[in-house]
Amino acid sequence: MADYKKVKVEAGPSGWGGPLEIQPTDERKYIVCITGGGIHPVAQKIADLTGAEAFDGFKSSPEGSFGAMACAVIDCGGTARIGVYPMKGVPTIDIHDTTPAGPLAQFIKEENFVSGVSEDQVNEV
Amino acid sequence: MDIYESEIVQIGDQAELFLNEGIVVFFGDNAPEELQEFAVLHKLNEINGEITVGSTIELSGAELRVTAVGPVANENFKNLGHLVLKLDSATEAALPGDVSCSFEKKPEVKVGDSLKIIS
Repeated sequence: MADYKKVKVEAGPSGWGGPLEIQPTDERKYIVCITGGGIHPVAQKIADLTGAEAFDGFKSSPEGSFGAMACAVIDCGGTARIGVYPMKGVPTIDIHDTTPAGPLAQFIKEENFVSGVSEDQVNEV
Repeated sequence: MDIYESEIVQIGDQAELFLNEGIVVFFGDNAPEELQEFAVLHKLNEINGEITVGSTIELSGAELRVTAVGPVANENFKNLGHLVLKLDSATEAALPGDVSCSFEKKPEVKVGDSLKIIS
């Protein structure tokens, strides 16, 4: 059994939501990055600090889909991805400064979503 | 100049949630499964240039005029084939990823329809 560490992710200066505590488990072991252009530094830092694996979620889906995601790192412009991952029960980290909006806004809560995040907002607990 | 030309290859089961509110959530056909459910997928082709205010988008036979472009909209389109069209005629993008459009006829999006973006 892997021994994953917990990290705290806070909202950036103009961000919203959180703080989230991300604790990967054997079941939810992937830090999934859905930003295009590979692994974003925020996802990499969460992976490095927790000991979990950073996964390029735009190239493929992890085995176990949403249920295998410790968290999702997105660069959502505010309408779609911002709601999809929270709706599916995945703690969601947006690098852009967004607030709940769009048809899925009802699923986006301070407990499952944080925005405006850069590497500075990711820290060990 | 043509910025983009493609066709609709799939419409996710949940895409209607957005379409009913006048929002078309596009992703390229390489989008991860998790997002396909909510999206209108287009066959990913080469993108030439950026969408700007005044660009024309021909979708499913309807002609849309771009009235606002959010600051991350072009970046999302280039990186992910991801485009959020809002049929709200807004002159300021409400959200950073929005491409707002005015229209005469609302497009009824179906598989096989064409998508064309002209500067």
